[in-house]
Amino acid sequence: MNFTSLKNKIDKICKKKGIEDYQISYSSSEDASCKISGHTVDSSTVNTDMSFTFSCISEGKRGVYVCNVFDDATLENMVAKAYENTQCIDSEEKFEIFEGSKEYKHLEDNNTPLEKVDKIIEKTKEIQEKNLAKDPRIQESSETSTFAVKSDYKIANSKGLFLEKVLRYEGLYSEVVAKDKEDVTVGVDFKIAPLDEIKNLKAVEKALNRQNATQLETGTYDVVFDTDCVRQILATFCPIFIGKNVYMGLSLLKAGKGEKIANKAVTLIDDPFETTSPVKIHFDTDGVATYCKEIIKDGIQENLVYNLSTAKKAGVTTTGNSSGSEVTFYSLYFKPGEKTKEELLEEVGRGIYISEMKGFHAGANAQTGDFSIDSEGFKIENGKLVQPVKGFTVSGNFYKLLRDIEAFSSDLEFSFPSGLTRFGSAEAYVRNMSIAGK
Amino acid sequence: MIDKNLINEVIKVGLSTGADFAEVFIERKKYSAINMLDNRVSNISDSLICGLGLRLYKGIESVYSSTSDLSRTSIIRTAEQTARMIKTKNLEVINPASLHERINLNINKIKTVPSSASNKEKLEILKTAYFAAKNYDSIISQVSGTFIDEDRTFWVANSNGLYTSDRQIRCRLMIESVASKNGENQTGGARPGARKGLELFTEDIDPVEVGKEASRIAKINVNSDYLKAGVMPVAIENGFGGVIFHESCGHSLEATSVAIGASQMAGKLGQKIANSKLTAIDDGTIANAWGSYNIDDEGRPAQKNVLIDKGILKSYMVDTLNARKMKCEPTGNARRESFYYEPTSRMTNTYIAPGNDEDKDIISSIEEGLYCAKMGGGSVNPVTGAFNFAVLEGYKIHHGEIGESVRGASLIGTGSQIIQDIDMVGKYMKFGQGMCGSSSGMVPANVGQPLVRVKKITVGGR
Repeated sequence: MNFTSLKNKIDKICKKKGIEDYQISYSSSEDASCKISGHTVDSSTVNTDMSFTFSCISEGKRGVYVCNVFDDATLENMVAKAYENTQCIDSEEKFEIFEGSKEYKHLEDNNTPLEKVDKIIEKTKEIQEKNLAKDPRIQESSETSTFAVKSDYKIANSKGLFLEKVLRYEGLYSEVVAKDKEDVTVGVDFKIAPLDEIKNLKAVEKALNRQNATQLETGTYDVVFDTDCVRQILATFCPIFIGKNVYMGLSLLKAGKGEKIANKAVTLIDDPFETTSPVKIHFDTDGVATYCKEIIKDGIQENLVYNLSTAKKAGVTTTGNSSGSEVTFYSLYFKPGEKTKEELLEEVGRGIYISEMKGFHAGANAQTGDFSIDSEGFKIENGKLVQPVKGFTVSGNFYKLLRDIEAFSSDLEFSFPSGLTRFGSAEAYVRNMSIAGK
Repeated sequence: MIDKNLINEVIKVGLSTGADFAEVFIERKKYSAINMLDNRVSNISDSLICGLGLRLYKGIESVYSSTSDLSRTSIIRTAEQTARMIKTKNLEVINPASLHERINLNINKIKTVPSSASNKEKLEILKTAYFAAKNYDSIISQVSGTFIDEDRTFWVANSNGLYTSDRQIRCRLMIESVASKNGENQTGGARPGARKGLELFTEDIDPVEVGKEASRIAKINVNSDYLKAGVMPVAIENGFGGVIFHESCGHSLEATSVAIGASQMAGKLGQKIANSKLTAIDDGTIANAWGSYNIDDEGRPAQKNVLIDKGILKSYMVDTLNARKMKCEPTGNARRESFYYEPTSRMTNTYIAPGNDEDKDIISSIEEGLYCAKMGGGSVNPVTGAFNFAVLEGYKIHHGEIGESVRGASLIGTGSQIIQDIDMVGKYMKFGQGMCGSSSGMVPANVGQPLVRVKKITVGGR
């Protein structure tokens, strides 16, 4: 069933039931992927998926039903159940159906067909074989996965608003295992780009560089966090910048702007149109136009993020960050600095480069800001990476970390998108981090 | 839900390009979630999602397609497209066996099906737990609560003639409390669930106790000091403490990583890999347990599998594709979150079996160490076995006695080492519930153990 027919059917049911305020958010996707371990194609998949979310509002309360079945009886039941849900809600958060923003940024849709499975398999083989051939220490248990995805988002509501965005991108992920005697190390890398443009990944080098790691002494060190580590830290603690968490006491930040919450080197930006993003979008799930905003500017708190209902409760304007019933980020990233990675290391002189941190969902608490994370890395001596080190934990608190970041390198990189969200950072130089080793 | 003739046709189309096995999976899943925050009901959402997955094997190669469009046209198109993904030079088309329906023994009896209960009934449970948490102590500044229930029916048919189905129902109550003191927040949580209907919270578990437990932990943590990091002996309490075995060793025993050699446990069947005090079991047949089912997502009945017997590796957990690769029998462990995912080997109810040590002897045997009363989530790299777990509620042990509470601790080690270092095992086994993530999505998994002693482990702290 196409979207217009679905909308017409739902319009009729709502009219019959006297429901005036409602919205349909529709998403459909096609994806294809291939995974190879050793020299064998483990699996190749093609999926086509579609679902829509019906939400209706009664006296500011919102009831929701997610569905992918179109027969009349199911749609009738869906509308009735969503309305019934509104009657049990007593939250002070008031929802509304939005008539539309004055202006939306124009974004070109990438509507070309999904990459063919054969090409995906061929590309996966090419990169996997390159990885395996690079060094005799690389093990056959190494894996490469390639994927292509195309998604179509539409929203339509009872106030006549209709918006649509088609997203399409592909990428490749390698996890390389290196073994020398009994020392097993893993290196991971990924790239989101048209398949033809993906030539090499650094997974092999990462796995090999970690070989022969030694233990690190417990102590306080000046450290440089790899971009991947900073992105993981940001992904874990970004909920503290959500306005609702602030007014619910689930973040230690205060509402409003102007407070110094970070060192001057820190500028944090949320940009739905970040140039390199494969998931740019011009509207949020409330139908509000998205825009780029600074969360922190030169260490000063500038914005928290809101959707329509949480902004109303906080007495501010929405920032266009609605995602279903939650609030989300788009490309959330620390603004890079001027120095290259090498120049930053030179500035540090002596310390620890943290290349890998694992287990954030175990060792970090988004509500307290505390983290204690199992890490690997390299000693920095005379401004150069030297001996690999492992088996130590890096501990701290995110609120304090923001104040302790001395500088970022110029080497901005982004994480894999999760929905419309991705995190970005360059390497970060932080003084006096607590490290527990041997 | 889909006509048997159409299923037959899909299997035939699937086999038309030389695949030697075809499997159709059809799913209908109802899900409901109710959320409370700030003393109020903040959100109620329901969903109904249906779809079909088709998997074909050619030797040890697997191709998979799924669609949420269950029209005849879409299903046949999916079958044709999946068949084209099979690459073969010698085209030999096999005929599928005719489908014979099998009805399975129901081990998970449900009294009150949650998907047919009213919002009011579920809200009563949630509100009781929520306000028990909120009113526990004035130090509790915020509570969030969620009640979820799922009603999943699936049908699975394959070219060997299997045609069967299962209905899997579960519900869960989750309370998270925040305690605030001197501008600082600490948290506590309780999250019981089972393959049961609403009777879980009207007959078995008192929602008041769930709420109180979440706030009790939050209050203890906000009044605790950070633990100094170091290497020490640790006693890990029963229940969710079993997450350590699940993550550090259980994942390495799943055929998903064993079959490609990406597991520290690959090739070690029959070898002594753990302390002889340690016996570990994965059992999907425990009536109404969170990780149980009548049949797995390939239609095989759930099994009780002894993984490690007194330190000797006895079995892996194996799905049909990896059974081909490993040349062994599947073990009833094939699972997937939904039709969108190709199933693979996963854990069900996985636990360290009770031993002979008394709890008091385990604690008194530790001169200076850590008692982990409640464990949190963790992560592991199955290749290296390196893991990291949060301690949600911990206490120092001084001279064989449990002392002051500590916060922010984490346990860090490797799977192969910790199973050798678990050298005392208590008598009283208990389960804790979690959601386990892997390549076939998120599935409910029970973890369990009695109180155990780890003779030496790195404890992360400040």
